[in-house]
Amino acid sequence: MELSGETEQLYNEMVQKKDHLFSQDDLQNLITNKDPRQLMSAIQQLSDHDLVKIVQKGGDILYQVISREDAAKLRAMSAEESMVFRYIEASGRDGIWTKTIRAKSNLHQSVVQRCLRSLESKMYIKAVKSVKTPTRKIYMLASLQPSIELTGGPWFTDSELDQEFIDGLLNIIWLYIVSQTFPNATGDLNDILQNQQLRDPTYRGYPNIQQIHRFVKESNVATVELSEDDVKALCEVLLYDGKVDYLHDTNAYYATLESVALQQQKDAILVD
Amino acid sequence: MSVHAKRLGVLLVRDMYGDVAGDIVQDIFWHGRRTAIQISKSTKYDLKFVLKTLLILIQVGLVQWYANYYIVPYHHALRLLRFGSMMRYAEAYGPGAEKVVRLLLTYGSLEKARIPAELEPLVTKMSADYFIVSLNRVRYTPCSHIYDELERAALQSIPLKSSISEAKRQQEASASAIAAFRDVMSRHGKAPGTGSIPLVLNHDRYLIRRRSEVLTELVSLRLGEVSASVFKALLCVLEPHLIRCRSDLPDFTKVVLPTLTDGGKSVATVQEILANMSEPDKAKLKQSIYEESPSTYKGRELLLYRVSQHLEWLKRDKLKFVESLNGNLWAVDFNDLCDHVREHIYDERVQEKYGNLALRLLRVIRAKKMVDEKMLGKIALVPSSEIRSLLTDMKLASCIELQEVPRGNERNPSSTFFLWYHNPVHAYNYLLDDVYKAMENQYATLIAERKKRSVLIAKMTREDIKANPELLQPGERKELKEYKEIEQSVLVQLGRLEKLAMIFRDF
Repeated sequence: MELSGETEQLYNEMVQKKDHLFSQDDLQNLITNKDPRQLMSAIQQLSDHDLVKIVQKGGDILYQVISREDAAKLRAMSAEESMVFRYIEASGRDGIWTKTIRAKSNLHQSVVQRCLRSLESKMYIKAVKSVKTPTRKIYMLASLQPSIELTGGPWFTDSELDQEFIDGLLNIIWLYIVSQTFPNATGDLNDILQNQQLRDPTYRGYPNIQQIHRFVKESNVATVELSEDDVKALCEVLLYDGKVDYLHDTNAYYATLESVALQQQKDAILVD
Repeated sequence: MSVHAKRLGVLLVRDMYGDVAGDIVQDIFWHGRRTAIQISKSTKYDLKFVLKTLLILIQVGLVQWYANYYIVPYHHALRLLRFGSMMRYAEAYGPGAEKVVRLLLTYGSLEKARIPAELEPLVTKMSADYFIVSLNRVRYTPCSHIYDELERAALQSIPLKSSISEAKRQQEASASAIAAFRDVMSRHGKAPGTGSIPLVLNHDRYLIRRRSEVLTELVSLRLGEVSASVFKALLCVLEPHLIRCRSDLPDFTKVVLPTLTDGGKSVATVQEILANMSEPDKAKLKQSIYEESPSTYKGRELLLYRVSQHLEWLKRDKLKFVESLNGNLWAVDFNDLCDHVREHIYDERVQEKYGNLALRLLRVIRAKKMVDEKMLGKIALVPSSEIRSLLTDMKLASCIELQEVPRGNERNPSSTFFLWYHNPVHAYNYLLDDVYKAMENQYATLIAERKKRSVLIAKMTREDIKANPELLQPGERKELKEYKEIEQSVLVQLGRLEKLAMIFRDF
């Protein structure tokens, strides 16, 4: 079914701003005929063709344009599937729990399950795991990436805390701090223990969070983007492990001699 | 007081002073305090026999007489364990010093005249260092007894007159007794033993030395040997002015413990610290800091500068080894420092027993005061599934505690916050109890091994065997070697445990 000339023009104007939410006034400005009845007729036509969706925000009614491909998808779906799909789509990157879909749609569980299976087989949606609620089945659009709340941030791989990745990063950061703390360290921890030279207490060159973050970024040790807060969390863990100490006056970290001795002992055991 | 500490105390007394002393000490331990008649009734020993044994136990400092009953301060009984290390410590005073210590430990107290003449210079040296102190009557008489006696004397000195009411007479006597009591207490302990005054070993001095040793070891581990030598020198300056490790001991202990005069200086200057450092340590000082010193500093000035730098490091350390008063004066807050040390040593035990992850969790809990499992996993970057079993294990060892906070009126587990927290007093007491238990088992093993070879050990005391050990059969020699190995390993283990107990109990 073809759209009328006015409606086609309105749709084309709306597609220019794809993710924008249009108010009635916005739409009025987009068409040449300023008659409100004409506008309502055009919106009705677009809605019939699933080319626009109505969104309620606060007390206002807004309109969002849907691409022709997505509209074709929706038209191919049954009424229940379409309803379920819309709820999943509305949930965005946070995803939606099956129980919530059931509560919102008032559909029977078996109907919801059937719709989800059908949509999943058509690759329109995907099931994701949430680190906060690993037992819940959460669905989101197949084209979207799950949010950080859902994945747990850089420390999680496939919704599991990547312990090896964290331990590796901790070790690399600790070695960097050691190299900045003990100037005579030539890659061998034995040198530090033999020399036992301390820095001048007034020395201000110990690395702070920004420097450590820069080092991690430049050395490309992490496959995911780490923020300064992520690096700070790692440094805090090193602090709890007693591997580094914190200098309040310069907000910097320095490695402890005790941690060097412990690491050296561990290395010696491994060599043996 | 730990049951295991009591049992260990009884084992030690029984082993060193025989079964009768052991039974009496056990009876007092189990009842807290006992009169001689009560002891006689429950142990079935004759009263005279009990009194004689009690007298000996009082002489060696194991039992204290208080009003009309007897008590055994358990740490006095456990002191028997450190006899060996006390003799080793005495060796620093010169050859023969261990003989003096052995004599004093055997007899509890000894008049100077009864000590062999050749050992007298050593006694003087040890007295000057307060390792040996004179035992005057004030020290082994309870405060209340001294006061009562003084009040009675004061009352008798005020004649009965019709012009003075009895209440007024009592009041005057009390005022006079209080003044006399203060005078007695301030005078006691000032003069090291001379003449016929009995001498005793000062256990407090020994504890102060052991504490210094432990603290210096810790500095060496955290900041290196040079900082440790600076800290050791600082402690050398402070030590002569310290009375005891802890000031929160019960009153009856304070009266009995030989003490030094109070009010000594507790700060040291950089110059004093440098003066107490050995030449090899001074030589190491120059190169101990990576950065060059200002070119104007040379010779002694450079050394003083380096000492100041190490002191700054000691002050900056997480354990706060020293504190600076006005730049040049340095002090040690032993109470705070020992709290930090206990925390550190406890962490080491947790790490040894439960691993690195447990230590991380404990430190997070300690830093956050109270924290739930989810938040704990988030901060420590560990999956909740891994930490749950660890937390349960640590809870069983009283390392951490669990607080339940219901969200509403319902006591439903699903609507309850479970917060983990660390109670150091509870945790340390539990650890100490474990240490006593281990010591008790070790000592019981030693006694059992000795009993098994009692014939051989008795044979070893024979003069001819002592002179010529070759007289023993090859089988006996082998057995003796086995026994010596067991004894050595048990004693080493006991020494380590005793050190741990001292850190958590005495420092």
